[in-house]
Amino acid sequence: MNISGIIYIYIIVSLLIAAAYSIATILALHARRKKQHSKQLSNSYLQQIIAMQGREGEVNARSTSERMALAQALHSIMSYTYSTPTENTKTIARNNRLEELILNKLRHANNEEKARLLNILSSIPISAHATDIISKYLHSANRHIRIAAIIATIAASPTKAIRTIADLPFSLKPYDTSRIIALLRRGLLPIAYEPLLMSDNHNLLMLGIAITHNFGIDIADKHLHNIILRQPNRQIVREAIYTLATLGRPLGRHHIREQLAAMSPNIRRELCHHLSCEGYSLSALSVIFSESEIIHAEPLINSYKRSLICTQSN
Amino acid sequence: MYAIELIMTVLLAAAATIILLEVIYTSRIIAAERRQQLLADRSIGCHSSLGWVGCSVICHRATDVAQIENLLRTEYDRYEVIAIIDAEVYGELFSEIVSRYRLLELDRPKHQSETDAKIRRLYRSGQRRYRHLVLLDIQQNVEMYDAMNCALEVTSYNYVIPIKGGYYLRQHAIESIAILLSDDSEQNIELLESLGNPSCQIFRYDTVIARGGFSPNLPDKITPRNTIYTYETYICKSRERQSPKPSIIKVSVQLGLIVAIGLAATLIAREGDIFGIGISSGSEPAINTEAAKYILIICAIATIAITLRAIATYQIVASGTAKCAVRSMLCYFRRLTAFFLRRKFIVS
Amino acid sequence: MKSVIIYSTQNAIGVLVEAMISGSDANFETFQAGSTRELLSMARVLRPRLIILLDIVPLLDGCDIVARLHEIESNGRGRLSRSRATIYVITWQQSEHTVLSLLESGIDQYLTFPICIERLRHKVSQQMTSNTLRQ
Repeated sequence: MNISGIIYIYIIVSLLIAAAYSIATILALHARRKKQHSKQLSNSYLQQIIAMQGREGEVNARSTSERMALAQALHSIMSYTYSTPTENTKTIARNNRLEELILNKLRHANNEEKARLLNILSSIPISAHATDIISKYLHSANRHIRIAAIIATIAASPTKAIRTIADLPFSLKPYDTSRIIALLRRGLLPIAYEPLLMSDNHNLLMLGIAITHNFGIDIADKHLHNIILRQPNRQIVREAIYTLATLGRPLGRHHIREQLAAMSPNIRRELCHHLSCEGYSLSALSVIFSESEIIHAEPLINSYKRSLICTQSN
Repeated sequence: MYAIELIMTVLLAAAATIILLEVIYTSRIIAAERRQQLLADRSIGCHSSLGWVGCSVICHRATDVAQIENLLRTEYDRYEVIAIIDAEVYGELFSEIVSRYRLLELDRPKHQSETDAKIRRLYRSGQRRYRHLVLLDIQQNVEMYDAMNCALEVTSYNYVIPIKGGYYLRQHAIESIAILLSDDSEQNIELLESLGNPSCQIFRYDTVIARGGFSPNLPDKITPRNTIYTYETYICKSRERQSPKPSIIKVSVQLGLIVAIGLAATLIAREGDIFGIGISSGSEPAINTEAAKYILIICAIATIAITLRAIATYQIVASGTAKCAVRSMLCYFRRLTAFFLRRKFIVS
Repeated sequence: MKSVIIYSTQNAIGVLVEAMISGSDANFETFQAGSTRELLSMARVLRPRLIILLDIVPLLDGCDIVARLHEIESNGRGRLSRSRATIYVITWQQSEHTVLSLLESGIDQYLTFPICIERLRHKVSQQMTSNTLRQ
């Protein structure tokens, strides 16, 4: 084939790629408009559902896009509120067959869409059959799908939450535990922190420490001290020390100083700054850190003291 | 003639490679963008202290207060912005920042090092709500890398994000970075490099210190095993934030142009009998074959431009970020050449 | 008519809160603002009784939104008008530092998500029917 032939073939192949992308752009713009419309629909369902609170009423959606918008609206309400009457939510979900809709879409969705749909499932009442389907996604290779599946499973069966978390075949990451905490804040999970802090399971321990930190449970400090004393896992010990610092507890005890001495200078420096911001005094810091380590903490602590004095004199 | 053909062959091969790379990287950038959006949507209530990962943004020569405002625009708790400005050269801007954020000059301990001696004054806010901001007044004529090393003296957190004046953080950038870094419980990540914007590199603090501070060759000194590459974009230039979205009409016109060029090329190829199969038995080509070749070359050049443009347009619409596909391609070439040449650390 | 402005960068959440506080017996109008500029221009025109911020970033980034809102109300004359808008913040953040930072900025009430619809509605209703004007 001569060069002209090659040029011609190149032109046609490139133009086909360009045409494909142009069509994809048009479809993306069209999808964006649909998404805008869906958001407006979702907002309207939001208003209807909220207006229905404490009263009997119906919210009906016919088409697939309307039902999806309704599911999204329910999800927003359940995420941002608590003590919302569940009867209305159950009726809406049942009458509009939202569970069936989402499970159907789940089968053919890409990874990000699957994670989004599983998140929505965590806010609508679902059957045991749906819970079985969701449990398959607990072993997904994609971490976003995995954590969304965990949230959906726990929300569907709150009484089995501890067992679900303990049986996970992987370690929960900090982002994962913070997602579970968000569920807790909705009042969905009947979890006590003490058994978690006394557990040997890594995931339950991390969750217990995260709960202590997030809810400011001062009285958990003795459990945290036990963890620092006994836990071989450095990550957990570090979490416990930081949590104690956030609770404003003294950190001068021997076992804490020992653990800190074994940490890298970078972590120690960071902890020193964290303690300065948390309001620890220089004398408290000098028990834990060396003079060279607290040299940069002094101006920071002084700057906060100055602010307090100015406020009081006003 | 042979020279032209050779040049054309090389040009076409290069263009085909670029287009292939742009296709691959556009799809990766869009996937990363969707992941980032998913995280942003699902991050409600999850923004504070993920795994105690902290980020310090070191901003060299902030251009205006708007940039400082943008950098502080995050709810993430373990975060600080260290702005480096020469008060003698940018006195007005310096004063404006000091008054707006109620900054107080701090008494500093005696100079610990030569780098520390280049800091004239250090400011922090007396107000709790602005506690994330640190302002450094650096001596005149201090080079950028040295200025950033000065900022390292007052850095509090374990990851450092160096940026220049005129660059802004994208929405939820810090949260995305914190989520990614907190996944590594052993804190082995020494460098997080965003290929979506190749100039964005996030270093671990003690890695930078251990390797002698910021320098153009810093990435070279870091083990590739402890480096993570991501296609998520964290930084943008101020003018890119307002990139206009293409309309359906413009894209339809583009599609029409593509079809027109295709038809024109096909007509030229047929009439010029470039494949040598004859238009009909025994007839002469309507256009001289040589002329047809030159017209096809022009069409090929137009095709390269329109194809790249079509891919970039799709990338803008699908991800909302301009020009990242081009930049990431350039970064890919840089990575390839890194096998032969040394990697550079360039602040954006 | 009395007005309430809800500031949120996420439209869906703004609509949700608007739906929560509105009701058939609501004696006020609600408006949505998606940016600080929009919020300030609406405040200038509407002189709202209540402003609900669903995003705390304008309070922490130096834009000092509360001071600018108060400046609008004082008409730049250095004295507050008789009825200053009450500012509520509703946010996910609940750390002590954040709460103190927000109170330091000058807000009047701090609430956290997730929020009880009835409580919020009752609180806003009380605020709007209150005869006591802020000095």
